[in-house]
Amino acid sequence: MSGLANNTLPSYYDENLRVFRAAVDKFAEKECGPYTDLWQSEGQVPREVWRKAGAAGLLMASAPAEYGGGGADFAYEAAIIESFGMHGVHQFVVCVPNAVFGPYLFNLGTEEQKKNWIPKLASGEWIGAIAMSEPDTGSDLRGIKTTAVREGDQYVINGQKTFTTLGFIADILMVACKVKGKGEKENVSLFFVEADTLGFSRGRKLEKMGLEAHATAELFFEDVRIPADHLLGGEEGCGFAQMMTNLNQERLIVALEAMAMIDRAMLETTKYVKERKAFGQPLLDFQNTQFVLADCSAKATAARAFVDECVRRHIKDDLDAVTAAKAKYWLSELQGEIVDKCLQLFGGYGYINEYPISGMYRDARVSRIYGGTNEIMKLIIARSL
Amino acid sequence: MDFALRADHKAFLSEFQNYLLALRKDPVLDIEAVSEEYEKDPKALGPKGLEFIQRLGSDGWLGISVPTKYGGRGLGFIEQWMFLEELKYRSLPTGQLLIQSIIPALVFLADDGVRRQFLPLCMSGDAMFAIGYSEPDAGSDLAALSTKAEQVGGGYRINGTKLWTTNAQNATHLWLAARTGSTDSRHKGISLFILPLDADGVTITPIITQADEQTNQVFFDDVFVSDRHRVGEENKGWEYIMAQLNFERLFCISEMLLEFHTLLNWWSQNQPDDSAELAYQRNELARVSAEVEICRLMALRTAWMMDNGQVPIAEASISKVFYSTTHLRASIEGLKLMGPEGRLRIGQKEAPAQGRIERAYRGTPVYSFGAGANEIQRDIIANQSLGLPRIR
Repeated sequence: MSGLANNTLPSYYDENLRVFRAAVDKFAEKECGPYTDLWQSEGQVPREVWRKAGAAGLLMASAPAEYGGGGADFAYEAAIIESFGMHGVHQFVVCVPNAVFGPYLFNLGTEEQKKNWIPKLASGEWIGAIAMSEPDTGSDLRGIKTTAVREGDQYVINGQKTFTTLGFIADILMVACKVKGKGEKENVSLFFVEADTLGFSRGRKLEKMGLEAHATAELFFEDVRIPADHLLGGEEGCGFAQMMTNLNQERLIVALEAMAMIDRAMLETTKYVKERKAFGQPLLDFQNTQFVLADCSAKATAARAFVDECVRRHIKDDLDAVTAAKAKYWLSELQGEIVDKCLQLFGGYGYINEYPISGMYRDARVSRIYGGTNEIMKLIIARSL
Repeated sequence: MDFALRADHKAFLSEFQNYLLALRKDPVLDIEAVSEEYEKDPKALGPKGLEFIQRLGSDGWLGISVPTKYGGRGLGFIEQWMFLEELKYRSLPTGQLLIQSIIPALVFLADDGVRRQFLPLCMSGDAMFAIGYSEPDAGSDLAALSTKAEQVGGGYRINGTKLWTTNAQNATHLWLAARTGSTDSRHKGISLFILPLDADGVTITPIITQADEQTNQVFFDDVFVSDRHRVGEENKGWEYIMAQLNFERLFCISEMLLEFHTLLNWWSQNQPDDSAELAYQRNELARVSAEVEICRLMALRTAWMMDNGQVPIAEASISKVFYSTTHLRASIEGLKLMGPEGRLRIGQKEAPAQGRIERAYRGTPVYSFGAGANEIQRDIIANQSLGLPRIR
């Protein structure tokens, strides 16, 4: 199933990427598609599926090959995101360890950190996640209260994190902490914490609307002692600068997820309005249906051109922060708009959990929030004017 | 058109408010428990809700707009709207379908036999209704319905199925539209029945919606319904359905006001530090507040028209379309203000604004297609209000 807005793959696809995409499509269809309902009710994707994804070469796709990664560029991560989105298996959120957690490790990590963890993540033996938000701070990193105190060759971490995607099943977490030195000013640093470390515990899996299989959890750190060399990059106080390095990619990921869902919503809805009859004719024959879907389709095509261009630029490391913010903002708003319009065309059926469009409606909402809220995106855009 | 509230309207409201206040200290009825049950699924009427509605009934509150000659209070639709809004605002069950839709339909549409049989049961809260119109292949195109009612001795034999039959699991009766004419008779061959749901051959299968509400599919296998349970004339059902649906759309009694005040309360304790964001959020809250008020005024206008002998058809449709789109947008805005925490499901203790906005986001789409899809309402507005030509 290619099924993109114009029914072709993005123009930046070469032969290798096409082959990879076909393999991902097959994996999504065979290994994921039949199980998504189960995953949602269990609130997580089972470990064996992660291992299968590892064996199929889907994990750590863009990590350097010399450490056991796939050695590919971001286009391959984009292919996974789009394929999973198009197949409705996007709740298997491979892109979090791969393209959100991963880059910190393989771009900023020390040699030892890379050697230790990339192979485990690539095989699916381990899962990586990022613990940043706290109960009272949301995404504002300056307000975090979790602390790390240096004691000899260790750091001692205390605090609480929440809304950690994959937090419930992660084996290694990148945790944002305030470091308190003696007499020095506080700084923000990022640490790797292995989940079997004493003092680390998980709270409930959070029950939330949409993306139920994300294994989102609260995490607790009580005198968690980690070796000092688990500090990302080995240098204190670089947290802010380090977080900045991957922001564009994180925003582009949200845009790509939105694009894939837009394509899927259009596909499902178009199929439905051709089959469903009212007043003796298919819904598609009504001008209202035609106008609604024509409008959505035109916008989807424009979105496709925009997001593909962003990927093309990002691969060349040429995507600026403002354009990334525009992509995240506009695509996620459009996703909400189109999914909502499509749901309406399903009538009562669209409101029932088991219909895919209802799942999309619930899953879509957070796109406008995570990766930086759309209000923040607008501020970034406005400042550039 | 002057639909300002009169002194007697206001007196009625404070009478009802005082009544509810006194009910909080009632030795028998636990009103907190009623509210708790209601919050779990506002669209169903559970055992505590039923107890509450029956209490309202025995205290004479269910027949507000019913003429005194039928045992009602003989007041107007404005009072009825105030009554429903007050209950919604206090997160209590309203029996809205009964009060806003079934009772007026009985008063205005049914013949005297059916009226005298069912009005007392409705006003005491002993009869609870679900609506049986939609079918798997008859939604917006309701005239395509195919559930059959065949004449047999003393009544009819019903076969077929209904979909989206909300509250059928608690209701005593189904307000049922079935085909008495030939298969292709469309709107000329439909009749209305009041079907007791404990009749032999009725099967109710639950369907859970994305808002965790229960709706149902109901199956009829040779179900007998007596002649005396037919509403109005045979094959005239379409007219009654149109009128009943119009009652249903008459005024959107909104949980939006409660949601908005809950949101505002949460927000006042969680204002952003950033001044640009503060300015934006203030602006959005003001906009939602204005829209909530417009919805209320539109409801009041339709009630006022009813009280003044006019039939609000396009007005009811306008109110319904505006309300449904506004309510959805308001819930989206509320979730935006709350950030990631806003997605915590209702029932989780950390959910901001008691999870009401989260549920509103999942629950509001129903208003865009329930009680006649908005696309059909725009058609009604075009015809009835603007006199534009019919298409089809």
